[in-house]
Amino acid sequence: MTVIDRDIQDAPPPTDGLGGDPPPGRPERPVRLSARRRPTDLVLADHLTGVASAASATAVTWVVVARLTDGLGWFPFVVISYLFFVGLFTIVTTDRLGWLTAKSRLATVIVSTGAIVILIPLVWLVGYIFVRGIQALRLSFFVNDLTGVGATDSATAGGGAHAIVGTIEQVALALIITVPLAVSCAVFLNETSSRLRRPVRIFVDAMSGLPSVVAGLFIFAVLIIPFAEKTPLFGYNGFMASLALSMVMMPTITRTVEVVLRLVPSGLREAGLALGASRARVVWSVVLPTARSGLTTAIVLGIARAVGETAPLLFTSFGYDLMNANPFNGPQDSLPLFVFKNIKQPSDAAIDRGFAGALVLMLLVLSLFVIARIIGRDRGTSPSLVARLARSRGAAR
Amino acid sequence: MTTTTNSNHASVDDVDIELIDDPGPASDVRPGLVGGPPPGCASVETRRACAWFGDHLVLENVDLLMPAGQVTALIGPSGCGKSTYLRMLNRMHELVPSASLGGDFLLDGVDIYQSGMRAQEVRLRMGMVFQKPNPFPAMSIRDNVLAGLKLARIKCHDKDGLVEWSLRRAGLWREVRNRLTSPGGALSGGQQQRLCIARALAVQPNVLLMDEPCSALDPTSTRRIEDTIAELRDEVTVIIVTHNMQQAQRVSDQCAFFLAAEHQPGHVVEHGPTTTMFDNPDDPRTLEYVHGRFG
Repeated sequence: MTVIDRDIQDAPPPTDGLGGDPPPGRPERPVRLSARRRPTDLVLADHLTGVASAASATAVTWVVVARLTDGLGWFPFVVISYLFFVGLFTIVTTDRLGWLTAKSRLATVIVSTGAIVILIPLVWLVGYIFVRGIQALRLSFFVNDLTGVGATDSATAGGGAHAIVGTIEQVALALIITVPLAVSCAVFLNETSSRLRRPVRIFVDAMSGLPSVVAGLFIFAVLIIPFAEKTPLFGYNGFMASLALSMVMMPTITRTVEVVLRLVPSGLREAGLALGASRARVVWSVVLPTARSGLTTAIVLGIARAVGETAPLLFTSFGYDLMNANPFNGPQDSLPLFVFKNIKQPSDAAIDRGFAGALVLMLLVLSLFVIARIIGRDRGTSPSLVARLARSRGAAR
Repeated sequence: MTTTTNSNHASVDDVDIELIDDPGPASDVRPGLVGGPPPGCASVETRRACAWFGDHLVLENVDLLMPAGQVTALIGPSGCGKSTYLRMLNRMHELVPSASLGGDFLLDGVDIYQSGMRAQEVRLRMGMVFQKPNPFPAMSIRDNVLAGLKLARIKCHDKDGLVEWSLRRAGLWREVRNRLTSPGGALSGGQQQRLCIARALAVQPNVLLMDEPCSALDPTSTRRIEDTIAELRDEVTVIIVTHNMQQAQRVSDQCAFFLAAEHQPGHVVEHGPTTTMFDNPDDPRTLEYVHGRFG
């Protein structure tokens, strides 16, 4: 990069002498700069201290454990050697650089350890699902349902297309129901000065602690039992499932949106009001657009909360092995139910199929997140790809 | 590196050219609005204006007349109620939950607090510029200028003309004319404040209230805004709160000195033409304050 720039600059002599080579004619001034450094950077000796402390700690632990006990198993070994490591590392660093630096390094080591400890189960979980799921996952999984798949068929027979369709439809319906309600509720909580805000907030908090199976039970008891015989709309179907999911999603989205709206500076509201706008207009045209990326986060969190829920679906959408693309009529499958049903079957093939379903569910959540992020990207602050390309081309010219 | 140097160079050229050719004839044509405030500037008068926060009286019996087409500066130490007074004039005071007020507030002789007068209409006729620049971050520069139209449902047939007119009036046009679609939050502090002035001017208000508009700005930007105020004088009544005595002296025709003591609410000590206030005031406290020996 630098080399190319130099080449270009050499061809026409620089006009202003800024940031380039000295203009021709003037003798080059010998400048001796002091050595560049960043005070926080680690040098080789620091890394060596870490590695050596770890090695000695392991060795000491091994000696102690081997001499004094009959073997403790791997977990106590790791814990004891970690404690030795922290102690040795602190002592050596104090000796080399003083107590102040040692304290800082010690904190860094402990915090990093915490991060790694948290990451291990996450990576393990995702990795396990991936490895188990990928074995039974074929392209046909995205196309076929379980038509004609018997208990003796292999894991790659059939597929989960019906469950994918069901999950997408149910979550989409739940979003359509929830987002307007949750955003209105958050606006009520944050933008009005009503006396009812406190009770409503307590209510929303209480709802976020609602066990999801109760949400499903509620829909089952209030809508499905009394009305299912009269109209198929209130029978077992995807719509009932999305109603139950809405109850789960609503408090999550409401509270997140409320927090996001609170972050919008009050100066912007005042500016809008001072321009002669009504309060509703200010909320709609100023507050919500400003909080746009935060709203997307709220929706993403809501999706994350709802998409993996199994309990509310058990007696609302009920589950089905064949494709039913109409969420308003008849039982419908979804990925969590698909996984649940397959994993509890006494056949290895079905269990593998269940893991494939779990993997697809994770991929689906990931892609929904990405889509939501793209839609909700702040247009004000980060220009679109096209605009950025156009600008960089203009600058290059 | 090369590209940066080149573009810097180009922009310097731009400014030079722009400095030579004055704002063209386009700036004099004020694009018409449908549903906006009535044309011209308006006088503002208050009689026995009082303000409370809760039960705490912060401003007592302010009688002031701010003549149409003139610049009035409100000066005084911090906490003496200048900003509160300003916010009462365009009914922003009532947005504070515990706030209350008393007295008559007349805009061109009409009481703005009478029943049947909508706060939104008052605010539309009296634009406001705040101490801290507050452009809408989710909108482009162009949309920021037009935000008042969108928010107050005003129609304009020549939006591009209005954007240019407002930005020229605010002294920002030649700096942003090539990037009207880039976000308003990306400008520097002084440019943001001028963008806010352009936004307030775009709805063509009768009065412009400015609450310490230059307190966060560098001297160059301050100077630009003062020039802007001077240019606006014929078109809009300007009421400006400032802590900068030189600024008050430079820009204002009328001046009012507010003061609050320990157990005494804010009140107007003296008001009158700026030259009298600065050279030969009646009250010794005014003389001390304007010469920086007090407060």
